[in-house]
Amino acid sequence: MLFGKKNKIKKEFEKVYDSNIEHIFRFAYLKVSSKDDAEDITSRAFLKLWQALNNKKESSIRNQRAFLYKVTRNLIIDYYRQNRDKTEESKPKKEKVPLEKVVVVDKEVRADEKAFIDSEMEEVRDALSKLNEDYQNIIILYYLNELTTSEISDLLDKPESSIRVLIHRALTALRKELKIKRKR
Amino acid sequence: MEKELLQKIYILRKIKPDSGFVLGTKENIVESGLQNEAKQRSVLQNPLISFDAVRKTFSYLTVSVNYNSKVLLSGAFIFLLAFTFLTLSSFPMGYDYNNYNDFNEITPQKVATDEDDEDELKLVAEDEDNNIDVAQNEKPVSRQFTALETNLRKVQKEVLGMIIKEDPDQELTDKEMADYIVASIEKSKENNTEDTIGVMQIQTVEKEEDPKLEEAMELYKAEDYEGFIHAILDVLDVKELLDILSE
Repeated sequence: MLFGKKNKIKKEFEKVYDSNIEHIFRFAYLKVSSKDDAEDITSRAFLKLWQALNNKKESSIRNQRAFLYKVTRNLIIDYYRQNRDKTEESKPKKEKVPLEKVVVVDKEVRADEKAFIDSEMEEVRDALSKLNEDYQNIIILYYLNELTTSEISDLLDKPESSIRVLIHRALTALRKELKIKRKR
Repeated sequence: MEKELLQKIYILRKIKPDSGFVLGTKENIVESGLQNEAKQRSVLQNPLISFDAVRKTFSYLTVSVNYNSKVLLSGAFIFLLAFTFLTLSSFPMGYDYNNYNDFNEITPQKVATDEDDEDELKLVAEDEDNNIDVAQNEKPVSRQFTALETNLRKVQKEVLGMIIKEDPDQELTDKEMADYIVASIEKSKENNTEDTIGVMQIQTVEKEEDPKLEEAMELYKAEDYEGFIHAILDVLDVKELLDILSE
């Protein structure tokens, strides 16, 4: 009976893992801009989900996806807090990973097309990193990871109406940022 | 412009983790998670381990222990510990084996068995209670072990008797003990339940084809009750018996 329960939890975890791994990694990567740190945050977030699923008190997590995003967001906040506390000398050198190393592009794509995709991505990522935290979160969660406004509202602890306003403002800010970049 | 902007945003969807990371992390989390769970469970359920082990080794034997028996068993446990300590402390640890005289003190009595050949010595060890003869020229230390083993078996038998008898003053014959054990086995076979009666119940478990148990039953059928009890004690393990008593 115990084995059956464990097996059920394992299957449940694998299902959530498979459907969310890319989204969580993308969220972490766009926030910390380091492949290794993003991988670390992602694996820690899923480990916490596993522990929560196995913990009797928390075994009834209503929304596992929301739980994952909350944990990831907290881990990202911890990451910035830890890095802020370090002096400049002791800070580890941030791994400069070119985007192409974390981008999966079809093999059929020609080299010139790939170069174009890379440069476009670099441009958007750059623009995104210049937005404030709320706008970044909105763009990543709403447009890239396709969370609903209600899910984002839960995650960011803001009313749903505010989230809709934020979506509009974030898009405007990004458009502005990209235009400014183009003018240069 | 809106469409163009969204296309630009959507291009970031191509950011994906390595497939190696995806698979490796999942496996690591699940495997290490399961291992940790198993470890924690074994630590949490540690008090149950000895009970489970006993359930396996006792096979069909059903023994229920009431309050009075618990007091009795505690006494038996203390006695067993004291006996073991005293026996071990009598080992010739401090002897100088290079010194023949010292060595000679702990060797068994030398008995001349043939006057015509006085050089030939036979070592005879006589256990006062069991009259067990030890083979010729057996080394003294192994003889001590044999004696210890014999005495331990006696203690085991006494403890088993204490578990079985309801009245501490009751004198049990080998046949009575054997009958009780066999009756318990039969009863367990019939009930075949996992109910717990009293503080502890050793019950029917999966070891139906235990050869040692089958051997013991053969001895019982042959009315060799002492042999049967010894065989049953083989099925039991003294350490596990101690585990029960220590709980």
